[in-house]
Amino acid sequence: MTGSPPAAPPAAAHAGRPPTAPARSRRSRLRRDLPLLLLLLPGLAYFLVFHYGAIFGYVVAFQDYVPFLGVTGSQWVGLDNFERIFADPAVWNAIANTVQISLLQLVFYFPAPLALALLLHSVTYGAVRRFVQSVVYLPHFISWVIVVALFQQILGGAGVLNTWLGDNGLHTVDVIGNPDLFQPLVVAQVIWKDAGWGSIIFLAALYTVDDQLYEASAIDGAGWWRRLWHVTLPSIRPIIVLLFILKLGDILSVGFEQIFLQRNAVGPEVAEVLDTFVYYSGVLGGDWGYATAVGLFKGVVGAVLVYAANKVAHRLGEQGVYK
Amino acid sequence: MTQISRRSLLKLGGAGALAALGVPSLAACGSGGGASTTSDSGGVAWPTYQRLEGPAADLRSSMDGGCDAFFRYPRQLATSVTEKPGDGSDVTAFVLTYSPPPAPVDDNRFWQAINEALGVNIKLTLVPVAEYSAKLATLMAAGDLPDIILIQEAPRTRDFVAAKCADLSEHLSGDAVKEYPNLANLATASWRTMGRINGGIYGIPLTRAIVGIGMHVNRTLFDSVNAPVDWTKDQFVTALDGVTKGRVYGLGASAADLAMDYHASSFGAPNMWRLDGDRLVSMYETPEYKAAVDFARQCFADGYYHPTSRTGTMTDIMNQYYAGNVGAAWGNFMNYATGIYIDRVGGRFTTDVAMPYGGGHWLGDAMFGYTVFKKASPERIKMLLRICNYLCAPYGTKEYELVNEGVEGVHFTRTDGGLQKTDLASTENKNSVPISRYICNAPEIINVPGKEQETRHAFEVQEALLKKGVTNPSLGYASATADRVSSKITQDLHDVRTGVVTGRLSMSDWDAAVTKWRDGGGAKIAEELTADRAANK
Amino acid sequence: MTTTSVRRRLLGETPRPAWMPRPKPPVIAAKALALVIVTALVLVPFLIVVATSLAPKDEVLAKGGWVVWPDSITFQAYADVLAGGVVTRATLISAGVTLVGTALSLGCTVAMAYALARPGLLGGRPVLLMVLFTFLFTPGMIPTYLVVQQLGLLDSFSALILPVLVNAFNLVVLRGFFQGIPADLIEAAKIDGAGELRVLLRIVVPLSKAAIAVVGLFYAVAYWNSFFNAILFLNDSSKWPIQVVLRQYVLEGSPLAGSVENAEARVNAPTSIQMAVLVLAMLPIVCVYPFVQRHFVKGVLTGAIKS
Repeated sequence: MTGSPPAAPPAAAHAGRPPTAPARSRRSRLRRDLPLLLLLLPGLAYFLVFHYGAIFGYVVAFQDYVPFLGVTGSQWVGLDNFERIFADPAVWNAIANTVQISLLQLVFYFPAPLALALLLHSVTYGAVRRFVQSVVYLPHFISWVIVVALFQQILGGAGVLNTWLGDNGLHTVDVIGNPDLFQPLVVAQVIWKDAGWGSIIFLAALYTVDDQLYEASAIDGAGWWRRLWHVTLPSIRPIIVLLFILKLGDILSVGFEQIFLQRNAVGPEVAEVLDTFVYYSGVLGGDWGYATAVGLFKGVVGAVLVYAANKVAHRLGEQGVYK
Repeated sequence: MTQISRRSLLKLGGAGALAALGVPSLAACGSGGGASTTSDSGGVAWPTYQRLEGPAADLRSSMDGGCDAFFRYPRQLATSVTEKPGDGSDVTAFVLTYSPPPAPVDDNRFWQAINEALGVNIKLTLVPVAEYSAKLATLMAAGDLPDIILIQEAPRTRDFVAAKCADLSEHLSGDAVKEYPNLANLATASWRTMGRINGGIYGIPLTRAIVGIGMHVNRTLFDSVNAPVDWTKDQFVTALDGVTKGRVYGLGASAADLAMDYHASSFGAPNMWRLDGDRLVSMYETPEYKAAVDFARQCFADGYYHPTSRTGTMTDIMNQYYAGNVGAAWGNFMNYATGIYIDRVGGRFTTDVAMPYGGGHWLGDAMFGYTVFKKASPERIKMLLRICNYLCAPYGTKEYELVNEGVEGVHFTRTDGGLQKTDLASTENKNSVPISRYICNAPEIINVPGKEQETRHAFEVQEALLKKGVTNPSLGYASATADRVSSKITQDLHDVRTGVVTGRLSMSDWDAAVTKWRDGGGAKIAEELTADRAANK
Repeated sequence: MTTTSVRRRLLGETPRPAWMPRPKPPVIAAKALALVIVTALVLVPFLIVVATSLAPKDEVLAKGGWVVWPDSITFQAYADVLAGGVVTRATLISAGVTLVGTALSLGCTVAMAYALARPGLLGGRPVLLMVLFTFLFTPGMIPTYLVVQQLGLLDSFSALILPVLVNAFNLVVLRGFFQGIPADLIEAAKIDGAGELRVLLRIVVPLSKAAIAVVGLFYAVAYWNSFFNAILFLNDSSKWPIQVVLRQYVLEGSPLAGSVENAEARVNAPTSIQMAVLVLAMLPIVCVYPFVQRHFVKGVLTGAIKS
């Protein structure tokens, strides 16, 4: 590949961005940025065509949409769909469960891939590290149907664990089917399934950390903890913050299939989340308008959270998602 | 409860944003269909039933919708269609599939043979069953309809059918159907379940055995505790108690239903709705159903249910059943009568189907779905009807053999014992090319391949169950409220039912839940169904 | 040869960077334990999956669906799934779509992310916000279908690639990585007369190997795993990609198409078939991933310019 660029003249190297030029006119900015805008074009075209071209679909939230009548033929109902969502007291239980599970995930699941990446990064035996890296992401590819079945095989009432406990005269544990343990169980399942896959991004981030920073801190006599806290984490802080904010935007989505498969065991008080609620209240009934209204609601909440979190990130000196 | 699998509902969640979720194929049980307007008064007459004489069944069922039994594949085949039905044109069909895709028609001798026999080019759009409703919705939105569409009952599809599909009443009602003898051979129960839309007949039902779902039992296990075949409730409990020990449990069911239908029918609860004079009363409000819930709760508390029943799906329970860990499991009767379960358990034990312990046996819907045609000229409609007539030729006819088994020498060879499938048949068959399954199909028959004893027994069990049969009087009638709220209120009620049976909740919670169901729309649904029924006698 | 270098060669141990102190035994032990636990948690269920796929059908049925150690090994489940060339054809389709799709997606995403990472871009902020908006408000299924229909893409392989060409999450993440590249490197190159494209290709991309590899992996996996769009946009079932086909072997009681009378019988395939399907679905990723891993190394220009 390329070698290092030729040593730049000292003045320019110090300069960074050229000293503040006189206010550029739009046209000259355009000329200057043209190559960049051209690079931008294919992606932009994609978003315009396939996302904004289809965004009209959200008007359906204000209609009693029937597919064969289309948007033009379906009846307008204003805010009725939204009222219906919140008229049912059960929706608050669903939202509460959703938020609870999301928060549990933010606290426990979010750090797991990071911790795993740090652990792997610190392993010097390349073969060992590559081997573990090659297996730890595999559960991501198993469908939820099988993951749930596996968990039940091991932790269920007639599962491996309880059979072993029973055979040895010990007290059996009630994990699956215990309403109090359901939400932690859900998070544990997500950690098992996706921590490895999630660590990939953090590993990539760890590889961008400049070695010279480590050298400098080692010269200062820093141990592993100080290295971690003062060099590693701050260097990958932008990525961590970015991923955290994006995850916040998704706070009302905790996965449908995983919860749906296990809902019967513990009942809706702890297991009903927004997506399953909408499934029974709207989707099954062919109520597109209702389902879209919920999608709109989720998007708005997500947007507010992303905006707020981004502002907080700026306060902390971070770039956040956008400036 | 219909025979349509719940698992199809499970897969819809993978689509991402909720607005992308499709509408699944199953509306909540309890209403036969959902038009947003009640049907007009005075519907057309049902097609006159006329049994096709020709195929010689070894045992003939006495009931409408019951399956005939054949001990072996007939040596003499009857002919039911004399002229090629098609006119050489292309026919597009939109159906679902449970199977991997077939080879394209140019490489597919089975498909070619069917096209040749029918005299048309059938172009199939196959859709995996889990995404069927979603894709059907896009089809409806996009407006470019194929000639033939498979419809499974779902809220608001009746409006679509009424608006965009052909009214077949003049071709099929009353004696007009005799023009199509194989269609006349379809059980009236199936037409009834399909129901009339705005008083007319808009489709052709895909018939299924009316015997519905049964309680499959490990007969060897229950014989070992001397449980009688015709058991009473107490004998049933004693039997469960006797077999439940160690790894084996008497009862198994998926978490979604906990075999409640079996208990309810045994306690004499009505099949979804009871006809009180002319009024429809929901089963949930009957004392028999409540007693059944209480009984199930007791069984669960006594430990007769396999632990997987609390959390598992149908597959998980059946896995336990095959392994011999579950004594009784609730499942499709025809899985037994066609020998599938017998094959699965191998020689390890004898699998059988049990009688209810009292009360009656709930009959099924007798229908998988129905086929509709896009609006077209009468000649085209007649041609499509002739095609369907060919496709539903019953077992024992030449036509059946061609569209279901294929070409002799290519897909099977004829032996004394029946038909021997070739290797090619494992990929080219009626499952991968479901023309003879989901455009129109022959009535189901009872046949355990190669086993006359078991076939005879399966038939006898069917007849015994049919004698105790209880129909669902709401089949074929529509309620607008049911469309809108039925899935929600029924799910809420079922959630409580699951909680009560598994011990999380108490019977007083059940009473409260029934009231909530009634007030949340149940009462209105009863009214509307009653009205629709009165208008549509 | 010293023992150190022998051990190094055996374990693929990379020489420890000069700044890293020698780890103490308890630390090594703790790390080893953690790694063993993590690996076991993941591998044990996998062993069950593979073992079940290799067990004979009767054994699987007799043991309640899951087999930890098969009494005998048979590849019958794989043979059953692979029979008839259906899986082969679908695999080729998926491979083609994945290769082309990943290349196109990566190209567009890298370009766009780079452009958006440059500060002060005319219109940069609005475009970024616009992209973020689509991340929160994904378009619905029916509207997307109508757009694809209007573009005439229905029933073509382009419909498997174009509607998902750029993923907003990947874009934002890649942009984040690009922002981490020191600005003076870029300015130095610009002053030397390099255009934006050259800067991108010669400086930014080599420095971001790991990040681009990760995003490329995400796209490739997404293309390989996709099934819903295929079902939605394709009418001809002979064009189905691999995941759609494999799901049909597992879902809704479709044992092998020819083996049972009634495919809708609600009788699921024996677990051995389901596990074989799972293994086959994952196999390509498992084979490809080690190659992707190779790119998890530092970018080339590290430390070269820092003054």
